[in-house]
Amino acid sequence: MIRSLVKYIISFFALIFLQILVFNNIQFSGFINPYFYVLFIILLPFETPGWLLLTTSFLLGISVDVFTHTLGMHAAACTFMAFIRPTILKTFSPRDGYESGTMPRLSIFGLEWFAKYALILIFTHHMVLFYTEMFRFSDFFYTFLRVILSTIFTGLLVVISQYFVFRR
Amino acid sequence: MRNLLRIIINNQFLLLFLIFEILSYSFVVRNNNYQQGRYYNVSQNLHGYFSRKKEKFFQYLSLREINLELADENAKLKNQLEQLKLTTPTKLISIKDTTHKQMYSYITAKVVNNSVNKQYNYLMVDKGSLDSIKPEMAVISPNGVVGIVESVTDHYALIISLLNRNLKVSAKIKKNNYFGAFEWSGTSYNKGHLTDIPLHVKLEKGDTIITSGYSATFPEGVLLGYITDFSDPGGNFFNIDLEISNDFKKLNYVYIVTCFRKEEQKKLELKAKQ
Repeated sequence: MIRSLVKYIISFFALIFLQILVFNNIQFSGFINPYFYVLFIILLPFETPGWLLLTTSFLLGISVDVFTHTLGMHAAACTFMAFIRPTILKTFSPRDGYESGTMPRLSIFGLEWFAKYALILIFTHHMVLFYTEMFRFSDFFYTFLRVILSTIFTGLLVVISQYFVFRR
Repeated sequence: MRNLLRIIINNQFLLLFLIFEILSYSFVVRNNNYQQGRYYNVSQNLHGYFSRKKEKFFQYLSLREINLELADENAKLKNQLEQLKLTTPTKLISIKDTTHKQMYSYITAKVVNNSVNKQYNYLMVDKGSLDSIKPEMAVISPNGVVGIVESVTDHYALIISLLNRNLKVSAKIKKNNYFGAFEWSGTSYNKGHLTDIPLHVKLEKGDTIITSGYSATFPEGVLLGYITDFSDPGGNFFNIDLEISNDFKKLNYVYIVTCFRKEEQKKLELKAKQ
């Protein structure tokens, strides 16, 4: 219990630093911005209570905001992503629910399940984030294209990372 | 009470989510320049839209009064015209005076926003720079002085109301031409003060106060108010209380005054100062 708690706290900070130092510097022609740090919310255990899920997501978002001078935007997106997560998990659950002791991992549920689950969560996050950044609907399809492309890119990174680092 | 508590506990996930989202978006709007600008832009547009709708509705209700007011003014103007016909020798009209120019012209405008209950009141009218309204123009109504244009946008102009403690108007007593400064009392929308009238002037309650025309903003002789009370505070000048002739609570149409010779007068005044 304590060990996994420590593991999550370390990955919380590791992902924030990775995002700030590496992924914020990747920008393909202003179109594709990967936001890899949302992996933290994707990997939280199934049993995480609702309030803890929302609070950690909010804190994660606001920490990234502080470093990118976009106070509130990532926080809003992460909070929304955390809010939608239980619903997504319920729709994708196996017939007799998730076994106790399992985690939302690629190694346990397979590539197809994990990719679907992760992509939808990443999509909601990017949707809220990019439209908050634009703050208007007049360039709706342009922003939507950015959302789709960035979702694909972040999704690729997330899935690939599962094969290397975050296996457990 | 117990039910309310139960509802809160049952929906704690949703409520917490809403709290975090509201918090986030208040951060967004407060700390990011671009989003802040968009937010104020949209909210200002909405405010303008709704106050225009409201104004339209209430204007309809007060049509009768506006009609009476306009009829009154018409009658007044007609009377003046008749007097002019009598007093102006017909010969004068035939003289061609190339240097003669009209001194003032008037543009009608409708009040769309107004306040009377602050210390620094402003009002807004529906004419702007596209109607050649410029800052520092005078604003009057059939009943007297309204204020001075402070700033303009394409379709609107912001006017410093006479009921604003920053505004002073050069005024004089109609019967003997002694001049002073008019300022609002700051307490009630129909009370003002007249200052700088020396003690030897003979005053009476009910004397009419008009604009002096010295500042070249207001034409001479626009009604300001009537003396209700005066006292000697011990000094060189009277303390004079006025009743403002204009009823700022039912202001509807106003005239914006263009003074064609203002630049000329200002230039000369500047020279005199040097």
